[in-house]
Amino acid sequence: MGEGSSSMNRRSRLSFTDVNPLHFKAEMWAWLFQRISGVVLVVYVFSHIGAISQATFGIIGPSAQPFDPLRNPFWTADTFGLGLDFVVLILLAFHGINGLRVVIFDLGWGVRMHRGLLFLAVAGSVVLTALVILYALPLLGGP
Amino acid sequence: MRVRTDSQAAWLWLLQRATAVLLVGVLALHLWLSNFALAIDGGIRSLVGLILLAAVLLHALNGLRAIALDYATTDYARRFAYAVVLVLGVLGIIFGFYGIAPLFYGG
Repeated sequence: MGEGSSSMNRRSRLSFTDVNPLHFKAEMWAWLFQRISGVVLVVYVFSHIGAISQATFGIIGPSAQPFDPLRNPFWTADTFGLGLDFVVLILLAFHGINGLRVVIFDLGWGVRMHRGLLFLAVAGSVVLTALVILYALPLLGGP
Repeated sequence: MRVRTDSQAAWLWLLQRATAVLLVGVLALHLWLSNFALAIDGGIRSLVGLILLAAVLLHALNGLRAIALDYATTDYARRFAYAVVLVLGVLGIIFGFYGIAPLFYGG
């Protein structure tokens, strides 16, 4: 037992996470981007809730006036605001599709295809965002 | 070897999965309602808004909590993370309810 536990100790000391990004495999990148996109989306959601309640304040608050979406910092129709919207969109698409991928792994499905499903998730989120941009830009008066 | 179980963490894990799947559908509905279905009445909008607000806050703050617990090694840090998440949740509920309030009376 003593010998076993010492070899266990040595093995666990050697199996610490390798934090060099050059050594990351696909699943590590998936985990990292899921986490980063999650944090960015939490920031977005709270600013979105703030913007919506600010809009309500303009409608029913003491300084009620017609709400002008273009005056709201989170709905600006300029290139920068639109760019931010599309960044949020692609992060949301990736977080959602990759999240579903993880959920089906938890159910025991598709674990053997995890790499292919990851590329499918990335491709799916890029295609979905591209379709929305192609559809939305003409409506917003863009190119 | 004894297997430690933590029923609270297990329920929160399940909550994260359940809200994740729910959010995929409700967010699609939310984007459709706010961009393409402007004629749909306020009852459905407020219902979707309430479900979305609850699901988003649970998922977002449970996710923040999980991330914080990856780095919080002391009891004090863990309690601090829980407190921050709780305050954010209360703020989210107050501002979120205020934001969707006009839907309830067709404003």
